[in-house]
Amino acid sequence: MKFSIAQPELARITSVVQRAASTRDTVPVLSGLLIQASQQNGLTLSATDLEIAIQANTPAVSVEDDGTVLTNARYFSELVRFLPENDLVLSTDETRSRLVITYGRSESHLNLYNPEEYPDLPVNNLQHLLSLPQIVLKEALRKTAFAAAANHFRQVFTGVLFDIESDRLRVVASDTHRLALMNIALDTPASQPQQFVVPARTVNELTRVLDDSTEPISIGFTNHSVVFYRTESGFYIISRLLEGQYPNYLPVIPQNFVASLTLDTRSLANSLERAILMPGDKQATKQSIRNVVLDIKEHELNLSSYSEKMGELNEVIENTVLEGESGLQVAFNTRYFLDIVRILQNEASQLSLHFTGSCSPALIKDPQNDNYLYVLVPLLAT
Amino acid sequence: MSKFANVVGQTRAIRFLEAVLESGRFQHAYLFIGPPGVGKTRAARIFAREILTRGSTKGADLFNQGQHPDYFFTRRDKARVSIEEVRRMEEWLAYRPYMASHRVVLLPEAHLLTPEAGNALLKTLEEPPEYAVFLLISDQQDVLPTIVSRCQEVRFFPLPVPEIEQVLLGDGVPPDKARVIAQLSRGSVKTARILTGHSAVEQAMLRVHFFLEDISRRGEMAILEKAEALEKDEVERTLFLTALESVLRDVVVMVESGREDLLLFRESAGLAGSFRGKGAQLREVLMEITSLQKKYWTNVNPLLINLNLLFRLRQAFKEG
Repeated sequence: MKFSIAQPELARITSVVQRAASTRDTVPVLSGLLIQASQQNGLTLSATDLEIAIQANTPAVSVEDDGTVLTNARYFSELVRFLPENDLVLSTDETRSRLVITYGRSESHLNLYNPEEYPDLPVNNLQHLLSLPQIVLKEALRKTAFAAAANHFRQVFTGVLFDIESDRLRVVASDTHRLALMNIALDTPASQPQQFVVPARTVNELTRVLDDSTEPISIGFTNHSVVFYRTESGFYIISRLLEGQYPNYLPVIPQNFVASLTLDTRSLANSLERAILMPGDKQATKQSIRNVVLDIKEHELNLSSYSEKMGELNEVIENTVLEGESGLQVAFNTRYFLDIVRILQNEASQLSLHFTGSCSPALIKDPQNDNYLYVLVPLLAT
Repeated sequence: MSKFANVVGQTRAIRFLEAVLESGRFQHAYLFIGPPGVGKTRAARIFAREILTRGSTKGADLFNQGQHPDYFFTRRDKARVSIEEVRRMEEWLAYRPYMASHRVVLLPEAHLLTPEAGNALLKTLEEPPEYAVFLLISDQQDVLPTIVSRCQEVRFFPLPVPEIEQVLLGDGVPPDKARVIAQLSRGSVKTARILTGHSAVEQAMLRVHFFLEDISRRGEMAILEKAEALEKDEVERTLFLTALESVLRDVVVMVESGREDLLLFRESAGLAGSFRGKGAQLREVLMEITSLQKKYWTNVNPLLINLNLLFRLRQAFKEG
């Protein structure tokens, strides 16, 4: 194998791919990066730890001899990152079976694993499901994934649900205390209805590599794995799915409200940023939760946060518009409330809170946009 | 030849496991239960390998290298299996089998699960994914009953003396030594193999006799010295305690039946004289020693166990 490539290009695709390599060394080849050079297809890099696999390709390479090698992903990627921004020549030294990277008058030699032990990435019999603009998927993941549980004995709650029906995709995440839902209308209908739960780690990698362009990203399936891919740039993320039935989330979204409040997003955000500083009181059995109590009045909203140890905070937000009854009191986990307000702060000047009672879920959204919903379960006010 | 040829004895358990493999229908969880060192883990590993390599040979190498992607082996942290380990397993189990038809979790020390870990495991055992097979192994009966009720039990029994003797002969142990060890090992191949590491097994009985005399002569001092001596050396401890048990057993048998032909070691007959009429008490002490011995496998300072155990013995002497 022998090829030359510009350092920035190699560093770019290496940094994307190497993150799929395993960090444990129980199976050495899985911490490897598979480098395939071919005059016909350019340079293809792949890595996998069997749960997730990433493959990327670049045509911006000049290949002299075709070949495939497997080297340690972490080390290779760190090294490439710090190489000079010139053309690099990568070749195999056949006698000692090592990879030689030449940059100017310097060179480095890397030991290789046996590429025959490397698992095949199942990118061949791929069934296309749908395509959508990258920026849309990226936004949907950014605005929902945070609501998933960090750990939960029902593993599906640690992932993000993709619920697909002909011409719409719903992206949903929940930890049972809150739920974020994004509704996306598809330009071209999906090939079939489908529901699957993508692990949080895959979502992380995906948001990292998606860019803010309207170039399409496709979603497809291959033997029980989901694939996010762009054929034209030879980019694939293949991920195994979290098994288990995701609960029906639609009944969780409240429909009938006793009170709806519309207010300035920025004022609410500022108040909550102050409220979150107030430590929660330790309760005997449970972890302390930072909380904020909302007192809904006719033309204003009172927010208060109290800590036995630290003191208390009382805020008034004026110029609110209320529909329905006043005098309702609701307590929220400040962190969960602030998460959504921070997101809406960047896109909506007004925000609406819809209450179903002091102990039942509230719906939070941008009044102009029905496609992004956040359901938050209140804390029991003491 | 049976796949389970490496497991000595345990015909009933093995026949059952083979029948399960034959049928290809697996329960979600099996609990391998029985005394330490009789082949539970060995059988469970083979069972796991057979489940994972059914209908394909390519998994076998991976399994033997400990790298099969559909096999999870829980590890313990010091003397506990922690809730973090159980969570790690649950996260792993959320994915479908990679190459086999099932994913197998082997939990070699179910009795070492912390209460929290046990409770966390319950939730998964209650509603496991359809491709999951749990193999739990326990030396003791004190696994959470709620866990036991969710598992199919596979019982393992102490091995007969001749079978252990055969194993030892197969290991190349000289026949004289093998015979003594087989009698001392209380049905456990593991104990037997530990004992082969000891240079003077044959004298174990003599040392026990000497110690018993020493107690009646010097009292507590002898106990304290012995407890300390046994703390350091696991082989010596296993040997001494099993020898002690065998001697006491012989004494009980002699006192109650008076039949010298039932004794493991003829030499014990002489001791029986000083215990006449105290058979019931002695039997109680023997049971207690056995149950205290189990604590060596748990997180208790061995020195404390030694002291407890030996003082209990002394008490029996006084009463006797």
